[in-house]
Amino acid sequence: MKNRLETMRLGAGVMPGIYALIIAGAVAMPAYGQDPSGDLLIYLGHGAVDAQPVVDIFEEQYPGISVTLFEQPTGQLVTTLQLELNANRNRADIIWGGGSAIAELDIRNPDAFLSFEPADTSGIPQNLLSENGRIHTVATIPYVIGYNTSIIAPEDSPRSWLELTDPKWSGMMAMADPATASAVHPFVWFVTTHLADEEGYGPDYWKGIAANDPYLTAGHGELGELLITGERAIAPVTITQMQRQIGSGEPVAFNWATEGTPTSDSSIAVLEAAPNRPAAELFASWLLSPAGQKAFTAGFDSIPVNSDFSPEFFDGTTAADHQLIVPDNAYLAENVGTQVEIVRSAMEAAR
Amino acid sequence: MDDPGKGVGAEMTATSVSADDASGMQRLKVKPKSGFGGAFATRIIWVAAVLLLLLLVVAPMLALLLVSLGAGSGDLGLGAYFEQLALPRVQRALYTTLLVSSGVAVLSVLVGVPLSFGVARTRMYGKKIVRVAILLTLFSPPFLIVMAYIALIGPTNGWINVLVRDLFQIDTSYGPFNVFSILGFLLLALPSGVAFVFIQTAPLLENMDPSLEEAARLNGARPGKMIMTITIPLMRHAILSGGLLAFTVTLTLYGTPYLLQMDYLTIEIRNALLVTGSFQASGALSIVLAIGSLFMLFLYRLSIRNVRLFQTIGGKSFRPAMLDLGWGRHLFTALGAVYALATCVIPYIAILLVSFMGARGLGLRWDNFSFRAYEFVFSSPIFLEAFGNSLILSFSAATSVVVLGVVVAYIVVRTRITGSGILDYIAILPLGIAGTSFAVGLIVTYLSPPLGYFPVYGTLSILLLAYVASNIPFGVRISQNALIQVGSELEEASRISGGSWMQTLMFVTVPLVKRGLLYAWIMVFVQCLPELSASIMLKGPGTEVVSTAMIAAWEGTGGVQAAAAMGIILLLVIGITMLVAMKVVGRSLLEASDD
Repeated sequence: MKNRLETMRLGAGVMPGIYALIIAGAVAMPAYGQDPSGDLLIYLGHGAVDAQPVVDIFEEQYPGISVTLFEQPTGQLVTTLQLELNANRNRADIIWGGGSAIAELDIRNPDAFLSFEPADTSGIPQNLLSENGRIHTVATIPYVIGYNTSIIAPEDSPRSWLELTDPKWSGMMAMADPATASAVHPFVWFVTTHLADEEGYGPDYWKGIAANDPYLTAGHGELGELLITGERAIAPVTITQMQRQIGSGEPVAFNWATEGTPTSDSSIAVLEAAPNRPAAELFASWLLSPAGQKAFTAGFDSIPVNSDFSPEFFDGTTAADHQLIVPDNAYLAENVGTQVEIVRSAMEAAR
Repeated sequence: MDDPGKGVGAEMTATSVSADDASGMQRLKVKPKSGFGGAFATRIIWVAAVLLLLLLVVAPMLALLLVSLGAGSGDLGLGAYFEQLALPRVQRALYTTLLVSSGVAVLSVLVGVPLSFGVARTRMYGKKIVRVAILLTLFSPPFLIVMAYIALIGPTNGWINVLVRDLFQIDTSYGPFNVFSILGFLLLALPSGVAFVFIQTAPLLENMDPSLEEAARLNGARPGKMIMTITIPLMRHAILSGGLLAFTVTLTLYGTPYLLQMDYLTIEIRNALLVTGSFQASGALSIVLAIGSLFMLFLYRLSIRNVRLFQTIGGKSFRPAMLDLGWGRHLFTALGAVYALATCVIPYIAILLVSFMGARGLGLRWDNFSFRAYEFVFSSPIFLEAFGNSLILSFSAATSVVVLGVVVAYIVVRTRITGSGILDYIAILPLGIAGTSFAVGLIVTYLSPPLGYFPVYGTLSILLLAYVASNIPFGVRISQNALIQVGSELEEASRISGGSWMQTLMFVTVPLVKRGLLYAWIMVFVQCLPELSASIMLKGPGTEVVSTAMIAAWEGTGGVQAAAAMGIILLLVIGITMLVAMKVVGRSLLEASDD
């Protein structure tokens, strides 16, 4: 009896300590290199067919994380996310899409995104790194002049943005409507604001475009359809779209504009209220690391911000061969309404 | 010999229509018994139906209304309405919307009524083909048909335009046909309007008591005069109902104007959300749209005040009279052929060809033939999941709509409960709400207290709510039309014989109108499958449906060819489903008196 009591007292004294060790071990485990795991939901403003090869490489490296891509135009994603944030019903871990639209959301909701420092950004120029730590540019997507080769011979194709205002292209042009397609905003900014001091650009540029009766599409998908069918023979389009269509054997080609190439950036942000924040932060960091940047060459036809992994395009050139102009996303986010109104006013006046 | 498959069962013996009886709605003259199945049960069911409709329809619309008035923004008022309506593009959109909707409604009646008359009452050829074309039109994704006609009559490189220019040596690179025009939009929206008129009028023509027409002929009336003075007036409410449906469905179109890039109110509603992120602006435009449909509903109710005048099914079973029009039958045959070709044969062939293209821009060439699009679709887990989701949602929505629709229709048409007419108004409200805006209303409703506590947002449930709510008008309207044709004396006979309210509904009323209910189920099912306007807003991870997957394909995930391949697969799935449904019913829904 006495021995049993002593045993019980010993157990009562020892057991709490054992429990404490177990709990401390469980808490400390991640600190000893256990990778995050679980499901990761990414709100994707790009084509899933473009992003999937990148995601596949990530999942090979981190098999414990299962990534789901939910694709919608970035503008619509931002609206959806805003509504969810307002109701504290956020579902997404990450939003990955057009930087200007994400910046708009950031301005309205300063606490929505997690500020973090990626583990390894070697190879990324300083000016392309995030200023606020919340929105990180992972790639840039140049805007080029696409044309249908069944209708326009390469030697006759337009080679500058200003040339699109030439009356000979009347009825032959299409472009994405900036009111609905956020990816075209850098192009609009480029000719309206960046080149405003040069003759033929600024708001007057759009008068020339409007005079050619361009077909405005809600998004880049229909724009591509019009271009490849020849219904409209010329369009300012993203290099991603051109690469995909040329790779599919479509009769299209593109030119790099002589004035310079505006770029739409592909940016990523981790939600502060992400259901799986560790995995989200890991993915975002990985995407900015050399391994992630290299993954972009697997299928996402854009230009990784890491200059060590510049892809070669179908015309045999690389990013280094062109004058790429990266817009200020904060400026775009604050002035998107003005830009849209300039274009719309010009189109209305030409009706 | 009466055909037991036509309308009323042969064992019923109540009187049929009295053309000069103006006693109004066919409400039961026998007071329901007390107890279960009696007056108490009737009121309970009425309350349950009202609550359900409030939840389904009113709650999202109320959310829209409050949002449009600035609730939550601290700036209550009609400012958003004035601001939006002052915009030139909104005024243009409003004008186009009303112009196209009115044009479709009128043309739908002008085409649909002769078409349904030809199928139901003449010896035209190709009746089954017309019926199939009607059904296919109802469930064909409008998005897919527009894609087909862009390929066919795109002004620059449309296949038909190129062929016509080559044939007639027209020296131009544009036209002669242009799908991207008001006329193009109207013609693309017309087939579904015709289909709505057809499904409202054809069953009525097939089940019409021939005694009045026979009396007219016996008195020397020629077929044309008989049709204009007897047949058409008897069909008035169905014609108006069909025209109303054609108008309101066109009013809320989204996919067609989106692809044609037309100024349209539904597009402005969507843009108000995505451009300015203004739920207030979107809500204001949505309410403006709703006012239009409410006005149409008011006109409809005015027209059917004297329901007994239109009662064409009584206790006797009968066979509608076939009219011998001589060479006139060929006119109806030609009309049917044109409709079938323009709405189904030509666009489906075009989509089929696109689905087998390797590169869309290389056109119709043997070396461009490829199975790549189908390989992509069948290997994509997203598309396969989308198909499954669509089937589940469509089945669930159709069943829910029919059950709720017949209950609501019965309460409105048959009972004397004070305020039963309110149910009718509530049930038809979704007709005037664009799917996109209704979806926004649902999102706001199920992200806000108290309903926000239920796990609805982001699941298939919220899509189901949208599908059920948006199709309630069809379920109620078709059930009402079916009930209007049934004399109340049959149900009164049941009640007098001791049957309860529920027994009467289940064993007398429903069998009499089962064909109409089956029409409603199939129509809702096939309408839900390609639903886009609400789905595009409500879809979430794991809740993609066929239409949103097709949009994604068209936007780049697979290309137009993949979207076309999905469309072909969808049509095959629907066709097989309908064949199975017909087998279960025991008779073909497409059969009519085809001799």
